[in-house]
Amino acid sequence: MTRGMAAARALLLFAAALGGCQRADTGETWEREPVSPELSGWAVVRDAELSLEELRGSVVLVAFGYTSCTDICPTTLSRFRAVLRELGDQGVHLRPLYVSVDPERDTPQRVRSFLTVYDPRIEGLVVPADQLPRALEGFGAVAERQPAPVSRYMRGGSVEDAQSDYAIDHTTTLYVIDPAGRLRIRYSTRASRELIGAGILALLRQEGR
Amino acid sequence: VRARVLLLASGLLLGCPRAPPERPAVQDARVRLMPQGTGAVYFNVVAAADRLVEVRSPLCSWTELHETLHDGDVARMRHAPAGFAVTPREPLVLEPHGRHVMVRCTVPGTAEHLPITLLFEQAGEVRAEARLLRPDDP
Repeated sequence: MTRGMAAARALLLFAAALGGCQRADTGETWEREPVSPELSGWAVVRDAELSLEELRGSVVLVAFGYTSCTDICPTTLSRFRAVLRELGDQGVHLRPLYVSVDPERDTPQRVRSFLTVYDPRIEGLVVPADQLPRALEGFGAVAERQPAPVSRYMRGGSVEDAQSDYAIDHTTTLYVIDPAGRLRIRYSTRASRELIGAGILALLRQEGR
Repeated sequence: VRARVLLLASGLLLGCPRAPPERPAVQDARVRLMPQGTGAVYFNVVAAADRLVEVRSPLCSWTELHETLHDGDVARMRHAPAGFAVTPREPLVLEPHGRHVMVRCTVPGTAEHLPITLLFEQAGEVRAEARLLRPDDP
């Protein structure tokens, strides 16, 4: 997409958003009444505490997942990487944030190695287990543990291995937070990187960037 | 020979569907592995009526057939111990966000493929090479 086309598309989308238009058929939904979710934890790349409030002034792309997730989560990170490439130079104003829903197994080091495969600009956030339900609630997201199949351990391993192994059903939406900290757009897994990039550009242009 | 040519020609004129291969054909096999060695294998299978019951690899400590189910915007990954059916009319498709083989493997850093063996109820074992996906691959 050329810069001119992207700008025109961004303006069109922004105008649609002002009119409360939803584009759920494409996997994109603009919030009619944006809320300001709270989110904080240990940022694994910067290696320090981080909260969404500290990221005010930037557009933040948020997704939930975990490092033992083999199907959905890697493709979400591929999407993050593709969106960053789609934005090109404008990507400097975007803060991609991948939030672990598995604080028990996802150490900062483990999340860091998971993310760096995709793009060093993606920050990972490990939220303390006791704060995770509230953080998820703020986004209308869910994360539910499911035990691993026992058959995985029938040919080897121990009962303890089986009991500590699990998958996590979780929300796959990509959330876009505007520079004022408000949740403005939700993208389903079927949204294209071009669509997501255009939505982010619309919010950046709103800020005069 | 003449009768066979005539039969084939009439089949073409009538637009007969192509018969499935005698052995299952595995197409576009690929695998996405994460740093700790877990990952997902995807492929398509064209075959006569059969059922895929297992996928193995000498480089993987375990493999399981899985399906990601979508409940609104929530993804729910489920073990599929009964395997996946394949019919002449409906090729079996394993793809991201759907059916896949969950694996835990140890693959040399220089490797570009993962050797896999698919086990079918009727056709038995079929070998294939799954291409290692890179971060830019969707």
